[in-house]
Order: sequence, then C-alpha cells, then structure tokens
Amino acid sequence: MAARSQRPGPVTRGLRVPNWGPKASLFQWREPAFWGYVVLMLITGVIAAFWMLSLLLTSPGGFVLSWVLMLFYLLPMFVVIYFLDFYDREPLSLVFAALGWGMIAATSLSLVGNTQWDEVIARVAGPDFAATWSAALTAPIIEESFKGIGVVLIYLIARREMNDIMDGFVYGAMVGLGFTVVEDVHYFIGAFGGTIEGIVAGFFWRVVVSGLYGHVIYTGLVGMGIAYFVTRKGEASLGKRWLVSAGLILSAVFAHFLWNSPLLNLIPPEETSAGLLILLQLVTITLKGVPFLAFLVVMLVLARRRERHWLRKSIEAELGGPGLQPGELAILMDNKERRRSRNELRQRAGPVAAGLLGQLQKEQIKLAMIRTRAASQDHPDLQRQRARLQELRNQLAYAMSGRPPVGQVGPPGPGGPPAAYPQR
Amino acid sequence: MSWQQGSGQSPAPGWYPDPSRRFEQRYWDGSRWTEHVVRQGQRSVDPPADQRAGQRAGQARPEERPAQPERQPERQPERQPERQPERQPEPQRAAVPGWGAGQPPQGQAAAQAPAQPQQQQAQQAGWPGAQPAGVAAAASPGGQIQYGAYPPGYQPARRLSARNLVTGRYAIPGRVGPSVAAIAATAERPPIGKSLVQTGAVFAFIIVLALGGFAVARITGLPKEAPVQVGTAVRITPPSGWEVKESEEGAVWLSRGSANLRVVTGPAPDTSPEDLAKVALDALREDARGPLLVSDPESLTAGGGHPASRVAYQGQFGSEGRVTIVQGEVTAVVAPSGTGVVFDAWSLPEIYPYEEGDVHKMIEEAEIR
Repeated sequence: MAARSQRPGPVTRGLRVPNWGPKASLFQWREPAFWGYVVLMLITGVIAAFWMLSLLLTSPGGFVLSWVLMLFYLLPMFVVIYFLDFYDREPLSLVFAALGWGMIAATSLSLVGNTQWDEVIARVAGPDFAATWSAALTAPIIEESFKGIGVVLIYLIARREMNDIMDGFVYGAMVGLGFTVVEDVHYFIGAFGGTIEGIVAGFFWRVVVSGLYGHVIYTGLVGMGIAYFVTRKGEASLGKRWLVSAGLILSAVFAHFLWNSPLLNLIPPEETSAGLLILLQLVTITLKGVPFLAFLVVMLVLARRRERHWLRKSIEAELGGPGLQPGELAILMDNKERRRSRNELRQRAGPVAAGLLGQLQKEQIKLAMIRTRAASQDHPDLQRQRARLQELRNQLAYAMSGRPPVGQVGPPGPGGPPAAYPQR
Repeated sequence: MSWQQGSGQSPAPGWYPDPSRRFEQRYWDGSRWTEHVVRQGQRSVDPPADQRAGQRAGQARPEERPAQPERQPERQPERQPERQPERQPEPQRAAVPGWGAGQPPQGQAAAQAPAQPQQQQAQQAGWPGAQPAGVAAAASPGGQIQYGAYPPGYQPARRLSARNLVTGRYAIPGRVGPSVAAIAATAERPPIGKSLVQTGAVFAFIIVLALGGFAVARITGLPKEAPVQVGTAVRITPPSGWEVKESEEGAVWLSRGSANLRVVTGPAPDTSPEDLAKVALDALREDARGPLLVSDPESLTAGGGHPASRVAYQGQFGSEGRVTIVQGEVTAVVAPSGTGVVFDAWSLPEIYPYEEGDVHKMIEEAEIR
C-alpha cells in the first residue's frame, strides 16, 4: 500500500482513501444495489403516479390540502429524526433515498402485496373475518417487509454508513416517515372524504393524535434490527445477532398488528355520544401506541449512551496525537460546544475554516468508531484515519494561514508566470 | 521538488488555488500573493484580499506583521527528523493544530511536533503549531489521493467549498470528476458477484411478497362456492371466498370482505343495456356524496351470450363522518325474455383492480334467462 502511494509527481505524499473518511453518497454507480434501487423506484413510481392521479381527480382541492398539511408533519419529523444521530449524521442523499423509498416504493409495493394477501385471507377464512382482520394480519408483515427492504438497500449501497443501530434507526424512521405521509394523504381523501372538514379531522386523528405511534416507530425498530445484525459482526455471536435483530423486527410487526387489529379497541359498537367516542378513541390510541414509543425511546437512549461511552473511551487514547488535542474532548462530547466552536472559528477565520473544523470533528468521531473495532493501536485503518485527521488539521492551518504549501508546486499555470514575475 | 526540499524555505513561485476561492488560481511570487489571477484559463488582475483590506484601512499585510519571537523557541524542531514525511510517508505526522476550548492551545501542538518556518507564518495568521500542507486532495482514478497535485487534465472544481476542499472533487473542464467518496466506496465494495447475489435476493423477496399472494389467491380460489339464485332469472356461481351478505326478492349482495357485488334483477322490456346502465348510475348518483366520475360505456357479452353494457365509476359514498371513496363497475344485461339484470361491483379504488377478475368471471359465467 505504501508503495502504491508513492506515485511520481511533484509531491508524493499519496494517501490511500480511508474507508471511514469522506461520506458515501447514494450514487454508487458500480454498486448493483444502487441500480436495483433505481429500477424499483422507477417501476413503483409509475404505480404511485397513477395512484396519486386518481386521488387528485377525486378531490383536487383535498389533494392539495392534504399534502400541505402533511408538510407540517413531514418537515419537523425529518429534522428531529435526522438530528437524533448525535455523533455521526448520515449523508443527506442516503437519508432522502430512504424517505423516497418510503414514499414511493414501499407504499406502492405494499398496495399490491396487501391486496393479494388480503384476497388469500378472504378466500381461506371468509369475507367477514377478512374485513375485520386482514389489515392486522397482512399489513404488518407486508408493509414492514417492504419498508425494511429500503433499509437493506441503503446498507447494500453504502455499507460503511451503517455503523451502529442508531444509523439503522435513522434510515428506518425516514422510510417510515415517507410511508406514513403518502398513506395519510390516501386516507384523507379515501377514508375521510377529501373535504376540508374530513381532511382536518383526518389530520387530527392520524397526525396530531397518532403521529408519534405509527410507521416511524415501526420502521425505526426494523432499521435498528437490520443495523444490529450487520454492524455487530465479530462483536456478538451469530445466534445473538439473529435473536436481537429478530426481536426488534418482530416487536415492530407486533406493534403494527396491535394497531391495526380490533384488540384493545374500547369503542363500543352501539351508538355513543360524540364526547365519549372521542375520549375512548384517544385512550385506545394511547394504549396501543405509548408502550412501543416508550420501548423505542429506551432503545434510542441505550444506543446513544453506548455511542457516547464509545466515543469518550476510544478517543481518549488518542490524546496528544492528530486525533485529539487537549481541550478538544469536552467540546467533542457536547453538540452545543461543537457548534459554538465552529461559529467562533467562522468569525475568526471564515466559512471555509469553519467547514473544515466541522469535517475534523466528524472525522474524530469516525476515529473513535474505528478504534472500537481495531485490534491494535497501529491498525492500518487507525493509521489511515489519523493521517486523514492530520491532513485536515493541515488544511485547516492552510485555510487560516493563506499561504501555499512549501515545496509544493501548484497545477500548471496558464502558460507561465506573469510578465512581472519571472520564474526563479 | 520534494516536500522535504521545501522545508525551511518559502514556497516556490507558481500558480496555486486562489486562497480567496474567488478565482481558480492566483500567482504566488515566492513571498506573497500577487494580483494575477486565472479563471477559466483567462488571466486577469485582482488585488489580494489583504492588499485590498490594506488599501482600504491602511493596515499592514499579515506577512508584514512582526513575528512573535516568544513562541519561536518552543517550536524548535528537536524531533523534526522523525517527523519528516520521507521517513513516514503514510500517514504523515506533521504538527498538530488543535481547535479545543474555542481557541488554539498555544504551544501544546508545538510540544507534539516540530515547528517549521511556514508554521511560524501560520502562527502569525492566528493558528499556532500549524504546518500548511496540501491545498486539497485530488482524486485519481486509481483510488488514491494525492495532496497538492492534480491528475493530468484536472482543475479545481469551480465551486470550491470546505467539503470540496476536503473530499477533493476536481473537474476536467465541463465535467465533474470522481469524488473521493465515490472512490472510497468502490474501494471497500465486496466482490461484484456477492453484491449481485445480495441485490438479486432482495428482488426475489420483493417478487415473492408482492406477487406470491396473487398465485396463492388463484390456487385457493379454484374451489367454487355453491351457486346462488337471484330471483328466477339469474344464477351465479361465486369463486371461493365470496359469500352472500344479504338476500331479498330479486336481489343478492355478495361480499368477500374487501369487495362487493350486488345483483339486482327486474323486468326491463324494450330497454337496451345502455339505458339500463344509465338508470343504475342515476341511482348511484343519488347515493353519492359529491360528483360521480363515470367512464364511457363498454359493450360486451354476458353469460348466455346476452348483450351487456359496462360503465366504470368512482365517487364518495357513506354517511356523514364515514365517507369512503369507492371505485366500481355497473354491468347491465337485458335478456331476450325482457329481464334486466344489473351487476354493481365496488371496492376501495386501490383494491378494485384486483377484484374485477372475480367479478367479470361471475358475470361471464352467469346463467341468465
């Protein structure tokens, strides 16, 4: 590797690209999974387009109102999910890919799959049973599978971006968020009538009251399960990886099943006053949703605690080297301090320097993650990451000094030096 | 000229990426930035930022500021030899600037690594212990990055940003070159065969899950339910899963949960199937909450070879607060005996396309007298 890096040239400080260095984007042209993602999105995009067109033709005003209202759910949820990954935020192209998968592919595939398997249930168990239980029996399996496939594809496209279960949660929750937005638009027009009153009522029940309990939780858990399996190689036994992953995925399927099933429904079949009906509906939703939301919160807290513990323990050993300088650890462990340090540098040295500092901080966290897996202090991956940090520090210094590097010749100029400056 | 040869002396004169990022290159005369700049191969003149600021405010340029002698002794490179890149080319351990506590740790970096003259310059610029190094990482097709050197034909991307500076996105004029990120991902990619198998497995899983139900439904739908008599003129044989939900004189409502078929019979002498379909649609319009979208009528042949007319519709039905969008089809048949039969099938719009096969089959095989 060292020999390969010694390329002829004015400066031969070649450096093999570290695996954990720059962020991977969605566009991995040589990766079959990327093209698989593209093909599936194109095919399902046609289904989704016809589906949306039918909703638009049914109620044009309702269609627009539904999307406008759902933006008020989509945007804040997107921000919250994206920033939950405190230490290692995911590349935006991959995050949007997950969101798009949930909005287009997962919904369209679920539409086809649910209908077919509903029919099987109706044929096997009868129409009355199907009318009551189809949604509970088919949707959790079909929809969680198709949504989970989105997380799997993201992993296959950019494996190194899946570092821990928190990453799996982010991608999974983004898929779930996209799914729930499109599904809700469908419900607003299909089930709530597409009128202004109906859409507002639908928004209240499906977003205001239930917005925290639905697909974001389910697919977040599925994503955590997938991430646990693929990121704990060598750390946990195969049996444990299967067990924990299956447990997380099945908990999502069970939460979805419970939500769709008539179980725990407190609403009586007979005529009831509107006030009591609303109260019972609220209690039902809370009973079905809160336990799984709490479970997810506990899992996220544990994941973040684990990341924080990782970070501190592993990066401490780098103190004094290019990975970590005195005084940096306290800032690195505190998001507000990290932001404050960048702002301070932006004022002092400009946006390029501040951007480099942001990169440096991210790469320090990468270094900490690599340390948790490296077998020795001089593992090649560690060496590469330290070298990358060194280069970042050098670039940061250059960005502040405003001088070209000594001994390095710039790219070929436009036909020699200016007349006033003959080449020395 | 090697990196080591450059140590201890001023950077060589030449064209370098413009530190202000406003131009592609700016000329360094060996001691200071000049006003000569290049953009898209065209030379022009632009005073450096420090000169402009100095002209405006009468300030001295940074390199004209007095050095800080009290810092220089602690930066003498006692350990310099072991830090030389030629001895440790990968990774190169140069001086380590810190960023902690909101301001650089004065002198700490120097204790970690030797200082060089250009570090002093950097120090004057406000960053102690810094060793200016490669301006950017240029991605080469081989998956390596070379600092400070550009692959042949490559120039810095026009829109330089902090990320570009780091990831080394360079461009052949008119075309953005490969980013380091893409190359890195390629470098860590598993064998293509394994990737193909994994992606293929995902596709297979999708096909089984999405279309497996179709196959299973066809298999489970083979056995048929007992024939259902509607009035005296119609007899239909529903596929498996369809059951009679309601029955009255001359009318039957069949359902299989997510789909419905109501069959109504009655005398319709001297009436065409098209007119009978219109009558049925008028009745539906009265029930609908809002407009009813209808297709053009389609002529076909129903059970027993009788002429029939079919119209698709979509609308909203239900009571206040429980309105549902519905898609369906009205198929009207008039037997030679004068008996009119209306088949009204409906379901949720996203479901109906999968139900119409059963419905059409029942109508085609219906015995109509």
